[in-house]
This record gives sequence, structure tokens and C-alpha cells, in this order.
Amino acid sequence: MREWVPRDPPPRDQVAETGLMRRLLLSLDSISGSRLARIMAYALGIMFFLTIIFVPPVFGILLGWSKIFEILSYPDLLSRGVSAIIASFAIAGAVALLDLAAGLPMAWFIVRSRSSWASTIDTLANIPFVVPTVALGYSVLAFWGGSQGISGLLGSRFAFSPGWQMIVLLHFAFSYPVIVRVMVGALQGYKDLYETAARTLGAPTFTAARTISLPLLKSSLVAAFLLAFARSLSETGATVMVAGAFENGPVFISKARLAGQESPLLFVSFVLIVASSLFFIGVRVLAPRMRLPISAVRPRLEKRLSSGPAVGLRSLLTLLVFAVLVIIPSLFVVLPAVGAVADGTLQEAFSGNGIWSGYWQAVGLSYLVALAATALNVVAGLPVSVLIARKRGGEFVSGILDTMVNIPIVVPSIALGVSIGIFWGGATYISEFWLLIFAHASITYTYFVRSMVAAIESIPMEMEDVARTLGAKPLTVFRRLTIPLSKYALLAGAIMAFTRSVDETGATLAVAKRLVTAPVLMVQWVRGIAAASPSAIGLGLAFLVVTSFASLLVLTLATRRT
Amino acid sequence: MTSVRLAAVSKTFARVKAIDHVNLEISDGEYVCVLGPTGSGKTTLLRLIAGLIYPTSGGIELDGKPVTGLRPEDRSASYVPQQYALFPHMTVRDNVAFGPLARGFSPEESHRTADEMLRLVRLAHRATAFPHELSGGMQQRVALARGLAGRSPLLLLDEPLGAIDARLRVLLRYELRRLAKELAVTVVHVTHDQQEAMSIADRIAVLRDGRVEQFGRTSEIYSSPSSPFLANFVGGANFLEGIVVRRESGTALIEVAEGFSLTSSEKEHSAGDAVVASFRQERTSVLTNASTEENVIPGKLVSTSLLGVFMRCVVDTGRAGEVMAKVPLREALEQRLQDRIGHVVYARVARDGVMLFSRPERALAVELEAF
Amino acid sequence: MPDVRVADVSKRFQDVVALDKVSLEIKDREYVSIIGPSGCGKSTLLKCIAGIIKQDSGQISIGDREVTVLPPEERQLGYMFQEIALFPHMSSWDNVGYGPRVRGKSRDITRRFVGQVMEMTRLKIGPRAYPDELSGGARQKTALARAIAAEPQLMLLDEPLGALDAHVRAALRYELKRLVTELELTAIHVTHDQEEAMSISDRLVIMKAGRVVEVGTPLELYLHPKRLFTQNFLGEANFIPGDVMECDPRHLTVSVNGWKLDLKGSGFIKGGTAVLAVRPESVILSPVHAQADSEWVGAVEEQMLLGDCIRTEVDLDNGTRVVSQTPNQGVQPVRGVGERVKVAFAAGGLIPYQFPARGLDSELSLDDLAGGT
Repeated sequence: MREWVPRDPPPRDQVAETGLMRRLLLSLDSISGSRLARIMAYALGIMFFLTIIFVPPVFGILLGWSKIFEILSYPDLLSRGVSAIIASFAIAGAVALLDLAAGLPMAWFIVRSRSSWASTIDTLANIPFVVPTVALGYSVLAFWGGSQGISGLLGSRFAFSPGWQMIVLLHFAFSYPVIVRVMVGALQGYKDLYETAARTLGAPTFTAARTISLPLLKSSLVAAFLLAFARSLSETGATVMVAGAFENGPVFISKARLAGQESPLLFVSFVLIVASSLFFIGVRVLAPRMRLPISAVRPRLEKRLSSGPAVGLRSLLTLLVFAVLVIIPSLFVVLPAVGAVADGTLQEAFSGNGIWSGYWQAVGLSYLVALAATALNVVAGLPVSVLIARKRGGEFVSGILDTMVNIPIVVPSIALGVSIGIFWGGATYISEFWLLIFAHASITYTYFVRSMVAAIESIPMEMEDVARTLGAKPLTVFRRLTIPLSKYALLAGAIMAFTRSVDETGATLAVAKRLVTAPVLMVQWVRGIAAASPSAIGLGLAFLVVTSFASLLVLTLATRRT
Repeated sequence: MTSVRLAAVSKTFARVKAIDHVNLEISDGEYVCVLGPTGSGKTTLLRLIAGLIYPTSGGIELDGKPVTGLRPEDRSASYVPQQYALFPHMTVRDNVAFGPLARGFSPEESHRTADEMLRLVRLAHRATAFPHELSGGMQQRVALARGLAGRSPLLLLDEPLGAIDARLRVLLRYELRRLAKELAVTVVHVTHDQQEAMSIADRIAVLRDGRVEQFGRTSEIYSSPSSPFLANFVGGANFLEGIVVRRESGTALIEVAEGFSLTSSEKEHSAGDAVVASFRQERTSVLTNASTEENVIPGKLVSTSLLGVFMRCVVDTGRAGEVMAKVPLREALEQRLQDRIGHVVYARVARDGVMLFSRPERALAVELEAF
Repeated sequence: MPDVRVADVSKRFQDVVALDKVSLEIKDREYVSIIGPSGCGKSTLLKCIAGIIKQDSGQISIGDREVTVLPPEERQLGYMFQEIALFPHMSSWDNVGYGPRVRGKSRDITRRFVGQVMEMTRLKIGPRAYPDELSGGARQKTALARAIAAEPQLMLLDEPLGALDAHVRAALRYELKRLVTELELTAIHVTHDQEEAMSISDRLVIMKAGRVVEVGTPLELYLHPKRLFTQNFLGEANFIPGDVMECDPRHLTVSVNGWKLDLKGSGFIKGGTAVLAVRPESVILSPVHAQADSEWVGAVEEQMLLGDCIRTEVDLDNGTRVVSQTPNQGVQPVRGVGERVKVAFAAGGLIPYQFPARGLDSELSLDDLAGGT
């Protein structure tokens, strides 16, 4: 006869030990057991996503439909607009491919080389991420075009003037770390089992990498390409700084905005939104069917390419490209900043006089907006993340949601801002401040949700299965398993969203007519609007760099697992 | 009392029938093994009982109460998956205390239960360790303790010894049974290893393609398998196709190859029936000299392999195919069988060791699931 | 086909010693299994021989070539992985043909060659089948075919059957042996399954905690192992501690809780402790008759049918417990719980050992990590 121990606990009020907090949690847990409660939670998340994040930027532009096609009666403007759009895609495509070619060997070096430099290089490769794009823009401008940069070293023949070449150099630099980050992550997660198997069959390392590893990493390569492409397509502030007379999409739009020309602005925004969405979806659909060329074999050549000296040469070349085209241009802003410390601009900055009062106001605004946008995204993004990661609505719904969530970062942020502005235009009770928050939330939502989805997907379903059979209600599982096991991703996602928001120029330019955020102010200073000295500009940018460094330092420390 | 009852339960995944009309009744306190090859639906069955998936048709009762639509947390079955799924961010103690805590017991009570369970599995000294610091065998015991701590009357184990070394497995399986009996829990233990099932189960349910082929005590399934597949899967056997040529006074004569017949004491089949004659390898002996006795098959000794208790001998009989014999090691050494490879030997089986089955519809090889 | 020589190979991973000066010699065309509990270093040793892991010290030669510093692609091996590791993005035929292609063979020659190998391994799958469409057994055979197609001089198998169901494993191992023998290859097979190793190997190497414990043929190691650990690892055994009452260079008398046994054995000291090991199949049970004083007697604790064997646990009157196993040959001596039986040991079945210095549990332990089983 089994000695029965009652399976259910005694009623809560009979147990003196149950504290208030615990009682509250247990009640919430029980509520989560009800299907209705859960559906409501997911529904709220989806509603937020649709009304704030997705519909305004993607469909808002349609509200200005009548004005969009007015441009057709101005053929010059039209052709300028169309050239600008083509230029955007051409540059983005070229930059993404070049970055792939340069970044892949770098990622390989970081993960596979046994050199002690590898982890240092890994950290350095993050620098263009850490430096806000406006600072990067100024840095690139100074290095490739200014008198102290390349022209100072090699002579003025080597200098570049603002134009499409400088845009390419700039975009190459800031999309590089995207490739490296994605590919390092992919390589670290990739078990070299298959490569080892290939080697035991006689393949030298180069052949094994080419025929086995690369095809297996294809989805990561495509993801990296798309991310780099999107970044190049979208960036506004820095591009404006280095574009000179050349126009790509964002440059055209910002000029049109300044000139008050509504139709060209709407037209180019509209085309950019449609074209980038289609491109993104197209690549996602076609890429799995693409096959990389892996059948050709040249044993002797590839054996030589696998040898020690060949690998050494390749690493050297990779590092050289990295140093000259990425790192040095990125850090060049240090020079004027250092100058600022020397010539007293630093004191002036802290005193808040003159241009500096506006500066600190702008910085305050940037952080406030970033904080609000991030907070909104974390709270509203969690249920959607769970829905996608655990396919709660079924495979089809989660798949669609997953694609939709990725669209806001594909659309150039300035076009996104234009669309949002039109969408909420009629709602005059919404202040510019809130418009800004909505716009920034739209842009950064994807970063948070993707991070959370990846983290939740990596938690084995079996753990949740066991927890449930042990009696845990859905909220209990979420509280005690999902969140603790994904807390790093949560933090990482939030910080990525935050820094991205602080960095943003395009959407701010589109949405805000009176409010000025820090990066937008910097662009104004560089274009000479506030008559700011080079030291002041350098210093202003340096502050932004430092705070960006600080938040990413917090991220690195928090995600370093002991 | 019936602890688990499945009535005509079926489960279909995207047009594939994973579980097909399964009826099962498990008594309170029984240790039942669900045995079957990979893909037979064993894990699906377990997950159906746990409530992690719902049946497409049919009903499930636990402790006499219907639970078919109930969520797992409202049922009373603990599930221990193949990879244990220990919570990596909690200590061993917190892992084990998770169940009671989730059900609403106070932290003190939950930890008391946890400590008791850890004592039972002899891991009290590692209570503050984290899962990744433990060996595979220890992790398995923590997973078990965690499943038992919820005090559920039903424990569902999915290949609990799958990740464990062969020799350790033999030792741990007895532990499992001992623990279950001590706590008087009903256990449903899924495995693909028939030796494991035979050594610890009160009853075995053999699953194939989502259907229960046979459900009974080990001795029943072993001595009276209901199909060639069962004879092969549980215990292994030799199979020869033939026709019953004569029936007389309780024995049947089956012609299995030109000029050669087997005698069986089985009573079911009649003259003219197409049958498969099957006899266990351990019931087959190897003779080095010719004999006029019945059921002696001449052939060439192809190979000998040491299994431990037995020496496995393969005899090529020509037209009747290869016959495998498991000869007790001592005997095999006395007969010096390893030195007789390539020579003529004789395989023999007693008439009561010859089982008969009707010829299956599909080819025998397919029926036996020869890969 | 070569000899393989491993000399004093050591390897540590941070603070764990995986291999401790391991030396081994394998002859041409031998099928050798390296067995031991998880964590004993057998996989690490195999990977060093393959060149997948670089050892800290020691030399390895295959044939007359020293390969110590050569990368795996230059050692001419066939390697089978526990995880099977078929390339998921290629069809099975392309997988098998990978080795020849990578060495420069043309597509046509490769295709013909692959066809031959498929026939030899009796693998009936179409050219377009992808690995995820195959059964476990078929995948394993494809991995084998792939290794063979690379025309290796040495086959290295790392728990090749680990991912398979028990009954598929039991059948496939003979196929492995057949192919390796037919192709006259030298093979080194790593596994934790002692039955698998014993049934197909020419010699066994037993490892524990990074060291080689014993080497010998399966029969030698099963019947007359020199170490207690080997006894315990290769199969079930009863271990009975006792005191040495008397001994001479070739015999000894051991007392187990008062009951005496005379055995052959050497190297013991009077007054010392010994451990007697006897396999369950050498423990013979018979019904007790009236006069049962000077014999080993006890009561049946439990009897179980294990299919091909009947396993009986007996509680002896002198306080020890023994397990007896009888082959199931149709005549089943069904004994009830509590029934009295007489216990005898088959000639040569009881082997005496010195009591291990670090304790019996430590010596027998099959679980390498601290804390034991």
C-alpha cells in the first residue's frame, strides 16, 4: 500500500509562511493558465506592433498618395529622384559585397586563428559599431578628404573630395563590423565536425572550408549581406556629411525636406519603401535556392592555399584592409577632439555657453527618446518574441509575423520617418516628442525582438515540457525558465536598441521640425550652420563616442558569462 | 486500480499516423516498458500521456479520471525526457524543488522534499552543485529525483539510460526499478533496448509503426511471441521459411529446404500451411559430429564471436541459409569451436524450441525490419 | 597496410589529463578495439592518431611514416564519427564520392567508383537520396562507404554505432568487421560497449583515466584478466573479498566470513586480503540435500528471466551475495524466492586477486568522475 502524500498543497491562507509577494505571483501564475488571459497578452503585443511599429512606417506613405505622383509633372526632379534611388541600391549592393569579401576572412581569422591577437582584433572590429555614425562620417571626411588625413601623408593627389567615392568608403567602414559580428557568431556556433570529416577524407583546409563550411553557413552569409545592405541603404546623417553634390535616396529626401518640396520627398520615400521591402523578401525567398559553386576541384592549387605561408599572407592582407579602410578612418575624430582639450574648448563645453547649451539639450533629448523607445519595445516586444519563437499562433502566423518584424530595419529610416509623419499627421494631439519616440521605437523594435527570439529559440523545448508536467503554469515557466535563461539576450537587445536610437539621424530629420537630437545637431554643425569650430565639432562628437562606448562596455560586461 | 488507460488513441502528424488505435491499461504501481525501434511512436505515446500533445482521436484516463483535454500542469504525470533537460541556471536542489514550488508548496516544504529525494538517489552531497558540473550518470539521477519530487503517482521516462555507457546502464537499470518500487510509483519507461526492457519491466508493450504488437509479461513475449517481428525484436531468432508437410500426434514436420525438415512441438498449424519456422539462438546448439537425431542441420562453421556468456557461431547451411547459434562459452571452448572454422558442423534445436508463424504478407526481410 | 605505432603520447586539456604516456602497437590488418568508460581518453587517443587533435608529446607512426606532425588530410585515413557527420547539403552519392573528387578524380571515374563501393557495402540507395531521408542504419553504412571510398590505409572508428538502436547496432557490427577484413585494412575501433568490442576484435585495449589498463585477445581478457577493473568492465562479475589463511607459491586458501575455498594462485601473503572474482555463468546452483554443512548454501533472493539467460540472486548464509546466470536452454529451473540452494563454482571460474590498495570501489568504478557511480 503506497503511503500517500497529498499532491496538492494546503490552501494558501492556512500556510502562515506564504508572503504577499509570493501570493501575488501565484495568483498571476494561475491566471496565465487561462487561455483567454494568454490570448489577450499576445493580442496586446501584436496590436502594439501593428499600430505603432509596422503600419505607420509601411503604409503611412499611402495617405499622401495624391501628392506622390505630382512629381511626374517635373521631369528634372523626377530624373534626379530616380537617379538618387538607383544610386542608393547600387552603393548598398556594392558595399555589402565588398564588406562580405573583406569581413569573411576577418571573421575566419578571429575564430580560427590561434594567435593571441585574435580576441583583441575581435574587440577592435566592433569599433565602427561603437562610434555613432555621425562621428564616423566626420572622421571619414577628415581622414580621406581633410588636410591632416591621407593627403597629409601621401600628398593631395590621394585626397578624396566629398562624393560617391567617399560615401562608399564611409559605408564600407560602418557595415564592416556587421559582417564580422554575424559571421563570428555563425562560425562560433558552427561545429567544425563537418570540416574535420572533410579533412579526414583528404581535403586540405581551404577545400574543406570552400566545399563544406561555406555552403553550410550560407544562411548566415545571406543574413550578414542583408544587414550590411540595409545599413548602407538607410544611413542619413553621415552620408549627408560626405556626399557633397552627389545624391542618394536619403540625401535627396533630406534636401527636399529642407527645401519644403513635398512631392519629390513623398515619391522617393514611397519608392524606397516598396523597393527595399520587395528586395528583402525576394532575397529571403530566393537565397535558400541559390547554390554556391562547390563542385570544381583544383587539388594542387588549394593545397598550396592551405599552407602556412598562404594563410599568413591572407591574414596579413585582411588585417591591412581592416586597419586602413576601417579602423583608422573610424578613429580619426580623436585628433580634433584632443585638440579641443588643448585649446580650452572643453571648459566652454562644460560651461554650457553659446552653442553648447543647445548641445546639452540635444543630448538630453536623444537619451530621453532612446530610453522611452527602448522601454516601450521591451515591454511590448516580449509577448511577440514568445509568439514567434514558440510558434504559438501556429507555423504560418509565426512565419508571417517573423517576416513582418524584420521589415522596419530594411526600410531606409528617413523614408520610414516620412511615412510615420504622414500617418500621424492628422492627429494633432500627438506632440513632436511622441512622434519622435514612435519613430525611434519603429526603428529599434526589430533589434530587440530578434535578439529575444534567438535566445528563446535556443532554450530546448524539453525544459519547458518538463516544467509543465511538474505543475508549472505558463507564467511560472516564463518567470523561472525563459527570462533567467535569456536575460543576457534581453539586456543585449535593449542596449542595441538604445544605442541605435541615439545614433539615428534620418527618421529624426523626417519627423521633427523643431526638436533637435544630438546627431542631427552634429550634422548641422558640420555643415557650418552654427559656426562651430573644428575643435568644438570634434569635442561634441567625442562626447557621443564616449557615451556610446560606455553603454557597449556595460553590454560586454553583462554578457560575459562567468 | 488502473493508473493509465488509453482507449483507441490515435495521433496523426501531417498525414503520418504516429500512433494508430492504441489500447493500453497499466495498473497502479506497475513498471511498464514501451519497447520499439526508432520511429515506432514511443516518444509520441509518452507525450500523449503527459499532455504535451493531444490525441487526434481516442481517450486517455489517469487514475480513473478522463484527462484528454487537460494541460500537462493539471495532470499528474511527471515527464523525464531523453536529455534530462535539467535547468542549467539552478542548483541541483533547486532543480529538484521546482515541482513542489510550482504547485504552490512553500519554499521550506519544497526544499525538504527535495532533500529527501536527493537522499534517495544518493546525491545529497551534491545538492549545491550545478548540472554542468555533474557526470552523465549523476545528471540522470537528478532528473529522476526532480520527477519524483512532484509526488506524482505516474513517472514517464524517455530512454532514461540512452546516454549512459553500456556497462553502467546494466547497473543503473536495477536502481531505477528499485527506486520506483520503493516509492510505489507507476512507471512507463520507453526504450529501444530489449535487454533493458526484459530485465526490469513487469510487463512490456512492444510498439511498431504506432501500434501495440504485443503487451504482456517478459516470459510471455519471450516464449510466445505473436509474430516473427516480435520473435526477432525481443530476443532474436533464426528464421526459416517452409511448409508443414505432416501433422501427427502433437508434432508438425516442416520442410524448410530440399530434403530437409524440422520437427516442432507447436500445435497450431496444419498440414499444407505456409509457415516461418523460428528458433532462438540460445536454444541452438552446435555439434561437431553427425547425428541421426531430429532437427540436426549440417553446414559449414563460418565464424565465431565472443559475446561474453555466449559464443556466437554462424553456420552456413547452404540452401537453408545462415543459422546463428549462441553456445555457452564453456561448451564452445570444450568443443574448441574457434579452431573449427571452415569445417563441417551441425546445428541442432529441440522440437519444443521451434516456433511456427504463418507466412507474413510482406517479404520476411521487410517484416523483420532488416535494415 | 601498415602497423600503427603510438609511443608515449600525452595530452592534457587545461587541468584534466586526458592521455598519460600511452603506448600502443597495432599490427598490419589487425582489428583492434580501444574500450573504456566515458572520459578514459579513448576518443582523444583516436583523434591524436587521426591528427584531429594535436598531442602534447609522443610520436605516432603509420606504416613506416612518422605522422606526428602531419595534418589529417595527409595521413590517408578513413574516419567514422560517432555523429555520423554526413554532409547534409550533398546527396549520399556525392558524400561517398567526396574523397575521390577532392583528390582530383574526374566526375565519371568517381561515379563508377562510388557505384562499386556501394555494392561492396550492400547499400541500396539511389543517387539522389539525401542523408536526412535515410534510416539510421543506412546513414551509418553511407558514412562507412564514404570512408572506404577515400582509399585509406587505416580505418579509425569513433563509436561508429553509437547513434543507432540496440538491435541495429548488434547486426551492423558484423558488417563492419566483414568489410574491413575483406578490404584487408587495419582498424582501430573505439567504443564503450564491451560486447561490441569483444565480438569483432582481434585484440582489445582497455583504458581507464587516460592510461592503458590491459591489452589482450577478447578471450584472454574475458576469462583470465589480470586486473579487477577488466573483470568488471568486460562483463558482470561477482566480487567476494576474503582473508588469505594459507598460501604457497601456487595455491592459496581464502576464508570468506568463515567459509573456506581452495584455489590456484600466486603472489599472495598469508594474513593479507584478497578479492575473488567469479562470473555469474560460472556460479552453479543446485538444490540442497539434507546434509548441507560443508558446502556453500544460501537462499534465493530474486530470479529473473533475461531472455537468453536466467539470472538468480542468492543470499548466502555467510553473509555474501552472489549472482548466478544460466543460459536459457528450455529447461528452466524455476526457483521461488526463499528457496534454499547450493552454490558451486565451475573449475577455473574463481580467480583470486590482491585486494586493491585504493579500495575495491575505486578499482571497479565504471564512472570516471569523482563521486563514483
